[in-house]
Amino acid sequence: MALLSVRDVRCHFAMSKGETLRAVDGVSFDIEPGKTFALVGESGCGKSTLAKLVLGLEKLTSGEIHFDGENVARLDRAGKRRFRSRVQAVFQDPYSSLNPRLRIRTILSEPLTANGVKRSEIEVKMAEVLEMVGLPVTAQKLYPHEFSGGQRQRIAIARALILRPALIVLDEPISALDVSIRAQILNLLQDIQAELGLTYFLIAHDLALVEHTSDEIGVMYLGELVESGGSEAVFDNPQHPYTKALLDAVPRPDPSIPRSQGGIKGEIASALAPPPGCRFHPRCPHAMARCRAQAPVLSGTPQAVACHLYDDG
Amino acid sequence: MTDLLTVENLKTHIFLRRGVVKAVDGVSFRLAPKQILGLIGESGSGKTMTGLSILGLPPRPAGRIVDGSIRLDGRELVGLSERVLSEEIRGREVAMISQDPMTSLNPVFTVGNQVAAPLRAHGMGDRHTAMDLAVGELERVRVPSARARMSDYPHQFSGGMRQRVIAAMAIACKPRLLIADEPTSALDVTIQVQFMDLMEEIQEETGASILFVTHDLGVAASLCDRIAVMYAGRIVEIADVGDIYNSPAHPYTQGLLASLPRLGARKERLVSIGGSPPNPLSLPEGCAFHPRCPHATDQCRQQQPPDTDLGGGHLASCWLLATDVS
Repeated sequence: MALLSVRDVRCHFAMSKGETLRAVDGVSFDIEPGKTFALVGESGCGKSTLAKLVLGLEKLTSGEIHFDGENVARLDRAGKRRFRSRVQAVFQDPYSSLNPRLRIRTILSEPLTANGVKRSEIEVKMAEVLEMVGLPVTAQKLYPHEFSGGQRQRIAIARALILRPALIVLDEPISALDVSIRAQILNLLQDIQAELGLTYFLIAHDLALVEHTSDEIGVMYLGELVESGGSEAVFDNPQHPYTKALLDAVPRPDPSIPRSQGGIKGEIASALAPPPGCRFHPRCPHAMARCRAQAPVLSGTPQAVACHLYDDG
Repeated sequence: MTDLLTVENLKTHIFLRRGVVKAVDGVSFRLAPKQILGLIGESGSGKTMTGLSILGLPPRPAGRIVDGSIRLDGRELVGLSERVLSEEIRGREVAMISQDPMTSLNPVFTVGNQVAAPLRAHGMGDRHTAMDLAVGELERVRVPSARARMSDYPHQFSGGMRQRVIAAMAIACKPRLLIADEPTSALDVTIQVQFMDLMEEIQEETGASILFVTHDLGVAASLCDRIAVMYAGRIVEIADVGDIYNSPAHPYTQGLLASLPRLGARKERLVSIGGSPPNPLSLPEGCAFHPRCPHATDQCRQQQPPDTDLGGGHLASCWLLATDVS
């Protein structure tokens, strides 16, 4: 059974002049326990809003999110509390995600205290997670500014781990870090996942990183999933023209590979007024009359694609 | 062919109450006409400060060029008065494309006014001619319906289009040297590709040389002719782009390239560089990379390594290579 199940989720925001911003517009996917599901897409596609919806930080306009078999919206007080301790997050910027006025010991012990863990156990648990993320126990006495960016991200990971969650939402966990320490943090996340059997929901824009870390992947464009499936299948054989264009555009650290030619034109449209039909059609090199009129449906298993090019096959 | 830009032993230090940050500490390189040189490094490595020093804009009042020389086509820029710099060099001979398209345009002036500003400042026409020339520059950077968009404000442009406007301002006075500081870092990949194509087109059409400052080894690979890798205020390796990626000689360059996740290589464990970049206020003795280097010896801990010429314009500063040669 899926640990997290997102079903036809929408999140719309009412703007001025009666306009509606469709940040997330009918997205469904499942994450199996112990796996990493990555959501990729460019800025403005709605991937961060989806992360907030999963964390319960944003309200659903419609649709359902099920965690461990239960509808999150229907949980009672105790159930909500349990949910919040079992789903944790690591955010992009370790300079803003840690309170600069709190010592590391406070940052790590707060979740435990809030969940009624005994004081004697708190010390043990803090030492455990610090060791797990590769920091000395003495780090407890210090403030966030006394650490480098990579170490701060380790602290944020330790905070996410301290309640022994089942699911961690990783929202661009390495993109704010220096290039030379990204690999350390990625390796750490993979080690911890293997050790604790964690499930990851990864939000990222870097496709090389996503291919490296994910089991399943969803590609988002303007609030909708345009392609999803096993990441091996999607990376080896991308179907949707947008997925192809994204992969093609990744800058390769190899001067013998020429830069993408004939990439897609133009820019992502506004989520206030998404184009009719397929939302990608204004940028698509293969757009047909049908693409302008009728929205394609995400279909196919295990690799699903929302594109009229594949309607007959 | 003589070099357009020659930087020799440049030292730009920042004097703070807590100590001296040697942001740029003995940087030397040459840039040939029409060449694109990538200056690669992490935050704090001094790559941006090198670019600002060439423009005569080290952060004031704390920052100062304390030593070295910057020659543009033979003319020494270090020591020029502020007035000469602003009238004859900045925006005219050397222009900058900065990182953040959201903050480097003034929100209260129209785009047309801002693109025309450098033209007027450098006496290339009155208000009307400057505005006409500005339309041409916006067309050159492929801003659609350029004339109509002259009267729009920056917030009416998307991120990618704003970055094009900034490029139009930079090339308006036909500078011979463009300093592009992370111009693609704030852009999405599909827009990034479009902007890199534009940089190449600009380079071909105007014949300018480009100093391309970035932390992204992928972006640099497809755009640059030569690459200089900076670490802790120094260039640790410089070579033609193929040599840097195919036969990196410095352990830092080797480590960076090995640590990148790459398309097509899935679920392999990445080789990571240990430790963190050094604190700029207290750099390690000897080679600044030694605490993170898998090959560090006592010599590395005590003495700064000299540049070793590996042939074909490939220089690297590492004791491993110095002892190989001698």
